[in-house]
Amino acid sequence: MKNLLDNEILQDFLRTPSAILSFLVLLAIIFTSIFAPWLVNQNPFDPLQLDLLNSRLPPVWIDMGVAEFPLGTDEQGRDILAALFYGARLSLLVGLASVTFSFCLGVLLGLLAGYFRGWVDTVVTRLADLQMTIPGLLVAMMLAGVIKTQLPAAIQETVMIYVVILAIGFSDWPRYARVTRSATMVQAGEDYVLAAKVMGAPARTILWRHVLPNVLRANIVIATVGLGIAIMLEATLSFLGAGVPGTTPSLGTLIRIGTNYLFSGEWWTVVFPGLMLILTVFSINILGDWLRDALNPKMEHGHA
Amino acid sequence: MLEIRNLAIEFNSRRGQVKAVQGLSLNVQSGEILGLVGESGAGKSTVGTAIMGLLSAGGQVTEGEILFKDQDLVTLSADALRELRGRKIGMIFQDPMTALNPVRRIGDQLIETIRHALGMSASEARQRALQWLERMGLPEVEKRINYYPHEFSGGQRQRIVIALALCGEPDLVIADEPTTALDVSVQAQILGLIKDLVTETGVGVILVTHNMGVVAEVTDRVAIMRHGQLVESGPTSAILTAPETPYAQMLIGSVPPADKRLRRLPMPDESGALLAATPEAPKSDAGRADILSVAGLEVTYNAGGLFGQRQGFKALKDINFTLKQGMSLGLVGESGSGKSTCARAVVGVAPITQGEVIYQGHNLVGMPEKERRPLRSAIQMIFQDPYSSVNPRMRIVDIIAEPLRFYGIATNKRDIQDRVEALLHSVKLPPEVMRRYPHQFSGGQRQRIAIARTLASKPELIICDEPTSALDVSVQAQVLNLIKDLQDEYGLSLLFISHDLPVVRQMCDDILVLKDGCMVEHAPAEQLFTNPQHDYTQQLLALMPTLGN
Repeated sequence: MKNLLDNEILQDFLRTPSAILSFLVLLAIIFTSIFAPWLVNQNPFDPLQLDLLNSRLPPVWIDMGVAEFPLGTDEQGRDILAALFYGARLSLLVGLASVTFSFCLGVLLGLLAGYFRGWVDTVVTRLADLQMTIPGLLVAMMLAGVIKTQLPAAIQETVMIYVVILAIGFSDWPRYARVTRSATMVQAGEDYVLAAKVMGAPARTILWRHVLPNVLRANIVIATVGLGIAIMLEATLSFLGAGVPGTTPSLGTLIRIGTNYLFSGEWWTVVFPGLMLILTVFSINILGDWLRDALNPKMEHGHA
Repeated sequence: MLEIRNLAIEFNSRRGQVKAVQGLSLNVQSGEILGLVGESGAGKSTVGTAIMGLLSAGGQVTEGEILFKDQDLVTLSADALRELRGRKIGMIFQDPMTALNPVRRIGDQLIETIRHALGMSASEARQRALQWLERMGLPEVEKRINYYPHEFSGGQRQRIVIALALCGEPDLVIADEPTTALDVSVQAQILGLIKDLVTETGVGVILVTHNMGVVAEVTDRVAIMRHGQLVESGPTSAILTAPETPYAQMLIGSVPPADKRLRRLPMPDESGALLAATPEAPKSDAGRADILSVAGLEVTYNAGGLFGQRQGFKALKDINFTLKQGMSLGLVGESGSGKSTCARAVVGVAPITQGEVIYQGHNLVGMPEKERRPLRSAIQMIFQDPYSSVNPRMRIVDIIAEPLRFYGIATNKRDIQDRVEALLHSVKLPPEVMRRYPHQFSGGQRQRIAIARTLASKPELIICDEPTSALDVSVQAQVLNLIKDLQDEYGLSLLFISHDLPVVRQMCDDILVLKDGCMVEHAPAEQLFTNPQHDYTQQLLALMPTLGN
């Protein structure tokens, strides 16, 4: 695997300009979101640093724009550029955390279902089927909404982000479970699994050492695509007000706040967060497409 | 009729140009079967597809010509080639399970081909299709012409595929491994059919195969290929009895003979000289203790259900045998006979519903896993498919070390390294391979790696489930020799499962013939081959393709 990554996949990557470009864009977004505190001189999440006197300033290249706020400010005097960096940080964080959650849950359930079959399989696939009949957004909204109403107001602000991660993560596990289940069923029929059984290895050893490494590839591909979906889902939730609170805005929250002012001419409050979101998800998807092709040698011959 | 002159074919791949065929010259006459043989990677199938103009993406003829009735197929346009295919050149594929369109009635597929090739009316074509099916020996053709492919057995489907290839009355048929996917008895029928059709219709056939027995059985002339080049060609009987080139000698020598048991198959040793083909008598069981005995064994798949309502499928019924220390017992049968199930039952991964499996005095059936664990290291298995029997994501060292760590035979790193190195040495692989991954090895090398893993836990009984049926014949000879070497060195007892009677003859002292999950005959090897008692055994032996006749 390591050797393969070093050679063929890296070679393929270097030959695909779209993959390189989207990788660089993504790298820049990750860099700015990690080092946001050192790149901008305002923490948009800290109300004390906001000054209402600076509210509704346009971007710097328009009349009345100031160099201190290159992309303008919103109605609370929040620097849009700083909000973008911090917002993208939150969006990526929620996206990664929720993908990790659904990845682990889905892969685990898929492994168990595909290896043990029988009633375990029935329960897992029926649960997955059930969940897939409900749109992911609805699942996430329901979960976030229900938990939100049950939480005491005092801790709501701090806990809400974990609720969102859980809600999004929970809405997407069936995809990993299904892919893992069918891949596990294939691997379980291979002789090296039988060899381990003959040796007397317990199921956990077989699953962990033999089956899991062989079903990861397919899952890594859907996880990349899933990351884009999770970020979009978080943005949608926040846009609808069921996501992270307005005091610590993510890209979705920024868009929601911005739309209120769209028709009064302050377009920058919604256009820049929107562009940032598109750029992020678009580059993730391009990278995911490339990864899918690169990891699937059969694609080359036209039959996947 | 067909003449290939100085043909070269290259493929574009990620690693640049690969020469698949080089400087190949061949010809085929009407009414003749030419055997095109070689081991995997020899380029024999590529030649077949090139004649059909169906080279896969990236492949192209870079040199030479393929003259079919004085027309060069290489320079012919795609449309003109399509006109030839089906009408003048037919093809028989390897896998009868996928060569027919599963959603169309076989009659429709035949009628369409006949109308396209011969320009007949629908009713005439139907009559012709019925004639073909009858000729292929299918019963009740009037009814069966309306059946779908899945309603036929594998052998019947291959007959239909042959009818499809021949119904357009082509002058040349390319048969690519037409019997490789079939059982011996079906193979014999199909080969007989092809031979008859050639005499009747005067069609020329190129039979691409890796099986020397098939070559001996039906071909008039044979061409041996290696690494894309022609090694030797000539009349079949001459080549098989007195091959001239060293490669042909090695290839033909490595075919296990059915009429005698050799000490080792004549393969080149370290110095490159061929081992002598000295005969050897089977071992005698006098004075040997029982290592494994199976009594009244019954295996039922898929029984039970939530309310115990399902009867299930009885894969094995009342199997009894005893294996003595250091000896080899062969389990022989066609597909579905239950021979692999028997192997799985012994190693404890098949649902045993009745009977006993006694290993050195311990009944393994129903034994708790905790007690069984120490016994497991003593019973190991070698599998059929070298591509599936090793985990592709593990390094060779980890694959072989797994049983060492698992059974606690070696725990520290240094010790494990040493032992893996010694195991690799015993299967004749250099220690450098340790850090590599399975995909860097050939099928034969992978099988050696799998054997090294099998040996790691110091087993006393090894179950070999068709260990060489996925391998080329020369690699098979090496692996069979290796298994015999290891048996002698470590005093191993073998339960050897195979469908290939000559292989079993080389390897086994006693033979058990299975059919539909039941024992048919159980006899010492020599006796079974020279004086078979049961009808089924006699039939199997009669149908076995051999180099001799």
